[in-house]
Amino acid sequence: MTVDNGLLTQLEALGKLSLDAEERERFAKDLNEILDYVGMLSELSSDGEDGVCPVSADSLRADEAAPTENPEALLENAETADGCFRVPRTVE
Amino acid sequence: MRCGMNDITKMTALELSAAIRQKKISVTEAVNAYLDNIEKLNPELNCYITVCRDEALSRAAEVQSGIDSGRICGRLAGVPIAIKDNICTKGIKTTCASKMLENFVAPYNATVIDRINAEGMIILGKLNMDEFAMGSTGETSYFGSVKNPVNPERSAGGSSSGAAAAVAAELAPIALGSDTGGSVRQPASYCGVTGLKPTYSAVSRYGLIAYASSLDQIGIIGKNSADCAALFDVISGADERDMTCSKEFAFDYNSVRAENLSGKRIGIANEFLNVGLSPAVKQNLLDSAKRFETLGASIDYFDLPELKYAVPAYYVIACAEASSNLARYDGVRFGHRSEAAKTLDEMFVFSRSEGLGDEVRRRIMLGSFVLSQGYYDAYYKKAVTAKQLITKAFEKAFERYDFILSPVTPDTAPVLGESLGNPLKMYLSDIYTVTANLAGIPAVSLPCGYDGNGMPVGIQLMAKRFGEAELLSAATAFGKEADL
Repeated sequence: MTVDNGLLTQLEALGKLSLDAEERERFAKDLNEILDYVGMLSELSSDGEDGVCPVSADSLRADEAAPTENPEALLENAETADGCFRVPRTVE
Repeated sequence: MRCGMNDITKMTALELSAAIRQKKISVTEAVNAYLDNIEKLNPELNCYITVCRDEALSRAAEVQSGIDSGRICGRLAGVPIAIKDNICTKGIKTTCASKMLENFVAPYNATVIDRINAEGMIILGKLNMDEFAMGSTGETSYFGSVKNPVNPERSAGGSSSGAAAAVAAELAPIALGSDTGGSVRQPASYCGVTGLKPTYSAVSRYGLIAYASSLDQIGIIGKNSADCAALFDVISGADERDMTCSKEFAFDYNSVRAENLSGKRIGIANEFLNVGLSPAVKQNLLDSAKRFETLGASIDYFDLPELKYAVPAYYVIACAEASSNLARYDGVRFGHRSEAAKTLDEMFVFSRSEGLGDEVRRRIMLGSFVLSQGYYDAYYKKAVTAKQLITKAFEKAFERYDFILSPVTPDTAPVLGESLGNPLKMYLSDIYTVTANLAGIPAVSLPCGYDGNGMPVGIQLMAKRFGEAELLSAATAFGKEADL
């Protein structure tokens, strides 16, 4: 497995990240070394059960609405307007 | 007779709470003793990101009056505590040692914080760590590295670097950390203190900022196992706000005691001795095995061929979960927002690229890769298979043994700056600790000696799921025997 320029660009898009030229070179080298190493997992023949959940579904709490203690505090870490999160305009 | 400031910070958490109950020390004196040490030593060691001086002093008065009136009667009432900065504390900055959350003030308390408050403990401040708990040397912090108190040229370990260094340097009597792949046990070992990673699901993760949710667990760093047991009794137990938190488990604190270990069987995997172990760590492991034998336990060796898959499986699963968990840092609701962004997409990309450090971005990209179309089966599914194999191998081992003994790390604390340029080398040093996270079992890191450079060496004792009472009893017995 080789992380080339094309794959690196795809991973930037998936992770919503942007790397500069120096970072691209360094990350490609690091990721290639890491993937070479974790590639030993391919020796394993059987596939595990997918998406094993550590808890059973019947241990979930009831899906009931409950009051939020201090909704205003949730907005204090963001740019807001009229009690809503403010983001750049998406429609003209 | 009243105690001097120096005596106060030498006490264990349980000794301190007893002295407070007996009115030999006031809660304010205890808090002041630690605040003085923090003021003197934190500028060099960099253990704390935020020191809550005013809050701690006003809370000390409140707790003292609660103790005096009998309203607060927790076993650890009046004891100061420091908190890793990825555990949410209402009204106090919770930065995850990241530029991304540099100014984030948590709007709510983690469940563990509510519980230590109800116990009557006092928060001294928030501790430095590797950014988003991603790192093994404390060097990925946006706020600078933590220095090892034993030798400031060396790493305090990671990711709970501040927690281990603060307890070792007497800047806190006890601390809460988190452990996803060894982040409590490894720094505890590097700094010569005790670190407990509980069973997955024994402690609520509500309010712990997520890294890899199937592996993350809040843990404790203390001066000894008895202190860890006392705090574990406070923080463990069911919580309806964390569906993964066990409803059945109840820690039997009263059964924890240092006693003869006769009849107890301890297993050591042959593979533990063969993976680049330094001579000093190997010798300390063998000496520790002998100490357990003098306590009455029997030592046996067994094969654990699955060990070689532990680090690859850990990094694939942890990075996959991290890439999903850290998607929330988009500049919208909290965290850094880029000023250069003009469009919504630019806001996401620029905010994340400016706000997240190298190691975090590397893990997000690795996680995105192993979950992406065409690679999911080859990497993620294989890693899940390896996790299941390792879990079964440990279950099988615990049919024969009460405990498994291992090193914590292949070597002692590295010199600062040595590891950052080689992420794979840093990952490989996690080989002994990640297995407990993959298998979901409890493990404790105990100081057991020193290497030729005077750096602390630790050993790790693991037990079956929810075996904390037996584990901490054996650890307490070992601590008394080691007599360091």
